Amino acid sequence: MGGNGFAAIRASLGAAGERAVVEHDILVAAVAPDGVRAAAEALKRAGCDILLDVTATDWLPREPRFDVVWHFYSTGAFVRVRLKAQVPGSAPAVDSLAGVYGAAEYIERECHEMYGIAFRGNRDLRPILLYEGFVGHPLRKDYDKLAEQPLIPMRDPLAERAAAAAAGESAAVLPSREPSPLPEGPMPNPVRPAFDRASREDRVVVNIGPSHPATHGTVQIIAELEGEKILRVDVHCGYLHRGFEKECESHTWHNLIPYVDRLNYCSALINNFAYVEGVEKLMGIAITRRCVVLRTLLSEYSRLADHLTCIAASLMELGAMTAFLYLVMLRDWIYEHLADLTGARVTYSYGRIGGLARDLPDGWLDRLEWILGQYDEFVGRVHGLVDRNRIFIDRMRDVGVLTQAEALDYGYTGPLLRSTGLPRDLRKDTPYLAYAELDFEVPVGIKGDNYDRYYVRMREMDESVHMIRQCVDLLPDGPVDVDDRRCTFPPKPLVYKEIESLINHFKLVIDGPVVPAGEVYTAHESPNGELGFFLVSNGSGTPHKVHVRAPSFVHLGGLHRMIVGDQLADIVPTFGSVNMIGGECDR
Amino acid sequence: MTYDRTIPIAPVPAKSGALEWMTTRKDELIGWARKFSLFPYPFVTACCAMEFMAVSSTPYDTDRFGAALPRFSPRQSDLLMVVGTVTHKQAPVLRKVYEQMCEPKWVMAFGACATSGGFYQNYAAVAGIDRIVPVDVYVPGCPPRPETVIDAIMQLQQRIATAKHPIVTDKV
Repeated sequence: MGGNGFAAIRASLGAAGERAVVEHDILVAAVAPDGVRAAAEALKRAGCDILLDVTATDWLPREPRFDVVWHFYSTGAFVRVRLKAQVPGSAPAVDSLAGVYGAAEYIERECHEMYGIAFRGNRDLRPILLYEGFVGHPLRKDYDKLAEQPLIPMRDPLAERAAAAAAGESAAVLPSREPSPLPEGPMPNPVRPAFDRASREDRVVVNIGPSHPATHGTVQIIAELEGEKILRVDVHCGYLHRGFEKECESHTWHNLIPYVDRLNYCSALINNFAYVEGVEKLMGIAITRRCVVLRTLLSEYSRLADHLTCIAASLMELGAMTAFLYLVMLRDWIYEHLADLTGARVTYSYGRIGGLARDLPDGWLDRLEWILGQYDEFVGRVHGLVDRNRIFIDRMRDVGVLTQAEALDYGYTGPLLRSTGLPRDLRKDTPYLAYAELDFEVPVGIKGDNYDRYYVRMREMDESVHMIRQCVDLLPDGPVDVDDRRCTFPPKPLVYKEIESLINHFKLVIDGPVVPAGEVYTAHESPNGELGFFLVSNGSGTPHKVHVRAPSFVHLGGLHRMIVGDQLADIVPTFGSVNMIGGECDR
Repeated sequence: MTYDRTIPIAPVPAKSGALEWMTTRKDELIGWARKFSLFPYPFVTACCAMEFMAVSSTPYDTDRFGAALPRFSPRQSDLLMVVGTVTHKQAPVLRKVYEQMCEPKWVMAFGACATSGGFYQNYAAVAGIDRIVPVDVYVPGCPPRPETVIDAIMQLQQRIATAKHPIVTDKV
């Protein structure tokens, strides 16, 4: 990240640019709510070609109440810019960026429903993570976290049991065998489709999902077909929205690490490390050398598991069951190996602020080398099975094509952007952890179709294995945790022996680590693309706001560009190659 | 695991080994047949899907329990596996899928979220799928290890083996 990149962007923003400050490697500029569009147009001309994210912070009871926040990235200068606009609590509204960035119209819908901020000029502000009929804006500070709004009648098994006990029946009454009562009238529809009838008599509208066998992930696609050809689609996500960001605001900085795990549950460790790095930046902690190398190693190991899952599932959906079994076998070895280290197979909760949960167990690295040997064997077999397979090529080549310009416009990052031929990788461009010391290549595709996305992932796994071996050589001895009593727990024997350590332990558990007030955005190259954490601290032990820039969510905004014009059956490989992960997409 | 009742099967005393006669009860016979032909419908939503993939592939292999072949139409399945968090947005879909399944049907709550909402106690997540559909077996874990899932399948099998299986019901 260079000062030169910032200078050009400052100049483009005019007076707002002169007042802008650099905070944690990001240029932060304050703009007026009605000057956002002009500022974004200037940023785009200055080279900020990706709109990463739109969100808001609720500062109740401050007036103006909300900060609306935009993040931009320049793929030429590798710098990030944050625009901030303050809007009042009554009828909050800002300009929409629709038309400047293709991704805007879609991303703004989330901010609209969560905070109730109107985006002037956005034609489509239907709910996206929430559902039709939801009243209120859950991420506002005055929305009760437990205020649920069921769509259908629900039973209450605990109350039924208590009532049975009160009536003198046995306390061990089994739950009733009856399902909840059906709603009166038709089953409520959580979404309002953009179109529900065909535009001509010989066309049909079909609904795919949200519980569909051939889509991994709960997505709903409403498509209008002419024969087998897709004419237009309406993509809905949000079926796995489980209130991650609201939940974070009621936990301490430490306690929300398990929630972070369950965003992209295929590579939970990368989520952990990206999140704790954000907190460490706010607290000004420099982690130990051994921790840096271990986090790098485990990030790459996670990427391997994630790509294996994605490729295995996509191949299975195309009928390649043998390849699926090979890859899942390999993945299972990795899961068990990580369970040796962390105690869990999928959701590790292994990152800690200022370090890691524990050091490597004995013999872990030997086993790692054995698994990497198996990797060559098993992935070699998959290459042999599918790479030049006629059926596979027919289903993947020239299907789901996305051009480079479209990919940038829709905010694509990661393997999807690289498959269009643009070698942009955060590990190379803005190196974090130990990536600057590692030797690796950034594989790119040629035309941005499904085959390229498959092949980019396969090549990335090879690079990951190469990096893991380098990390093993780099790994120094020494402690994994920093010796900083603001975040690291004191050694257990001391907690039992001296009062200072006992109080220290108690304060860290009950109040949480105190993080200085401020805002930070950290991004790691997750297997799906840029995984960003936007953290806001008000100086206490619990976060004021945790926002995730989820690559899957942004990618879904451009999915229609990939599937319109193809056949209905092509949705399956295309959606598989996008690798939408529900936990991360819907949060 | 030992079952409460077993089916006495006697081979012909001669060397052929063919089955000549057996005595049993109707419920036991039907239960024995049904417990080895579970056709699951994976209602897969969240993180538990990773372990669902693991449990149905080579190392764990649910085929050993006659429960390997997922049917992707609720109308052809008799075991609804709710794998992962169910949200209020998803609830009508789950209710509809359950309604589409034919009797006899069983429901497995796979993982902490399906059992109780897990650690998502907020406006979005349903605190346990037993608020929507009746559950036969709850699988703890976040996500459960594959061994836990296999244990749950075996417990469900025992439950089926020892249950009453009315051939004519008074249900309309």
